Amino acid sequence: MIEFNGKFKAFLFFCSAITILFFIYPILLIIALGTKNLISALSTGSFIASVDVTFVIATAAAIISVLVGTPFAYLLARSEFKFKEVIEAIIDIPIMVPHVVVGIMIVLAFSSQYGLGPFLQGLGINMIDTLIGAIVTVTYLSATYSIRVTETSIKTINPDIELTARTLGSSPAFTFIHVIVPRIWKSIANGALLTWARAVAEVGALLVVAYYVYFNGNDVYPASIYIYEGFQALGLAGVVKYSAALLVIVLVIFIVYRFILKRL
Amino acid sequence: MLLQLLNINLTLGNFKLNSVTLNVDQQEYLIIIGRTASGKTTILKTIAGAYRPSSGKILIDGSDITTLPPERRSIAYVSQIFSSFDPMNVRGNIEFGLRARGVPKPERTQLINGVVKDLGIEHLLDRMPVTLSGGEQQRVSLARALVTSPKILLLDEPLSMIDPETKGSIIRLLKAIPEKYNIPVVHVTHEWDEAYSLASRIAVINQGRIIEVGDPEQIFNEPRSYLTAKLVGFYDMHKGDATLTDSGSTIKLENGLELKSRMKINGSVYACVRPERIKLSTGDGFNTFEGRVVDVFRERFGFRIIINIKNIEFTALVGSMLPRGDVVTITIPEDSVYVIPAPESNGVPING
Repeated sequence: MIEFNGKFKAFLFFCSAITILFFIYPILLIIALGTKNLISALSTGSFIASVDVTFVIATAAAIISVLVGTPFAYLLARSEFKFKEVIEAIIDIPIMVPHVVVGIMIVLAFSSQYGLGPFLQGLGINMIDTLIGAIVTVTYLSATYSIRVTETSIKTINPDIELTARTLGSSPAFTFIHVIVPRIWKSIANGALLTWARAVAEVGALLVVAYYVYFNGNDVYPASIYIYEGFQALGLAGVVKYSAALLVIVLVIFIVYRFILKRL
Repeated sequence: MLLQLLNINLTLGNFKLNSVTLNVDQQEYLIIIGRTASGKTTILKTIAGAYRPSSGKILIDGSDITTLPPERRSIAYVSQIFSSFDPMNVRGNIEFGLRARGVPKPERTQLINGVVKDLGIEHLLDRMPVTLSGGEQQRVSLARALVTSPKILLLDEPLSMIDPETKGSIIRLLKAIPEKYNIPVVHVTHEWDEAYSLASRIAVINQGRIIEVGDPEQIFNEPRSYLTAKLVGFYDMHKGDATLTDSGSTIKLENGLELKSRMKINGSVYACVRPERIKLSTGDGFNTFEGRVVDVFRERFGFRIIINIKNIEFTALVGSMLPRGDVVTITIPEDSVYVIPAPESNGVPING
């Protein structure tokens, strides 16, 4: 703890207040305007289906990111190799590139006459307007968060701990599972939550790859596209309730998840 | 020879281990002493298997282990920090290596009971590591390493995080390990009193190169290099020219002061004196000089005073406080003036 005083303290408080207000004002307003119709939104079958499919896509992206991204994050945190900087820049590409462009990249890579497209189509795997296409797209866009959070967490662990474990007879895999993972699992969980949230929020790339997906026997819009479509058709007033409902659901999930995580 | 390091070369960024050759016998307590960033921990970690040398060999019992991963070397490494395996309790931590090796539960329990009894930590088994004191953590680290019956125990500054009152008991514990467990210990430190207390042999490292290996008495009383002398407590090391005399030599320091030594040596030298050998005196005679007290520091066993004699400073340990500015007479016994040939004479690098 450092004590601040005088004009600098006032400056810090002023900037903090502006920042908090900037973040919270639109949230409060949309919830205030949408609350009275929240029940109506939550009773709309097509909206609930869109939220369902969105959560399935986002959860799958989070799980894939953790399962594949955690070992990768460990490698990044603990190894020095040629072109590591290039690899790290590549991981950040989804954050840097417009998401519509990412959508085009996914279609080109997996569902066109180029690259893996013909091979996947030969296996009957289609990316356009399918659940798998949506999952691949949002995983591509959101895994970076999970990888980066986990990598940072691993870097805070003194490598001497792993060396100690290894000299006691523990293999690298046993060390990773029994020494590293117990120390970073909360960071993994936080990274998964960020990945999940980023996946829920995705719209640009899905507009290109999976405008709607076939889910539970119906063509269903992901929630972000559902709201975007509503905005186009009904205008601002028509989508406030859906926006507020999605925001409330996501906020509740965030708060409950972090509450549980903190107490574990 | 249990452990042999043969001509080990290793580059880590800008740091290099240069042709490190060391032998360690069964039941030997080898201490590698050196300054910060001299390469002592790097040697230890290379033995443990964290780094692979670019050339050279590491042998255990004659078998080449240079390319073996750490888990297949039978070498236990105890790091400077307490590397607790969270969220395991003390029992889980000690059991870890046995579990990793697939030792059955009943045997694990038996081995753990034996080692915790040896180290006096039976009462800590159900505690969480974060609740332990520095000394307790070090005992747990040792138990965790020893329970796996390693062929060699590596200790990286094991006393650096321990409070002074606990240090004594840990030193006793460490000293007993080679005989009790029939293994050699390789321990790195920059503390010369720690090395003097524990070592059966000492290696001095500087800039990634072993510059001297010897038994503790030789290293502490007759260091062969300027750097070793600095590391082992020779506060005063003054350059001069030595000329042979009937009883030894006379060293003319750069300020004209003449010091007599029993050592027979000629040429450019460093005259080295330990502070505890300098005596306050009243008389005259050989090596007796008058100087002014320029600084005084309290020490556990008295006072360390800095005396300026013709612009060269000497450090003495005295029993009573002397005010700054006092004029005192000191005598340096001839047999307490240790002389090292200057680097240009023997090629030993100076880093002080």
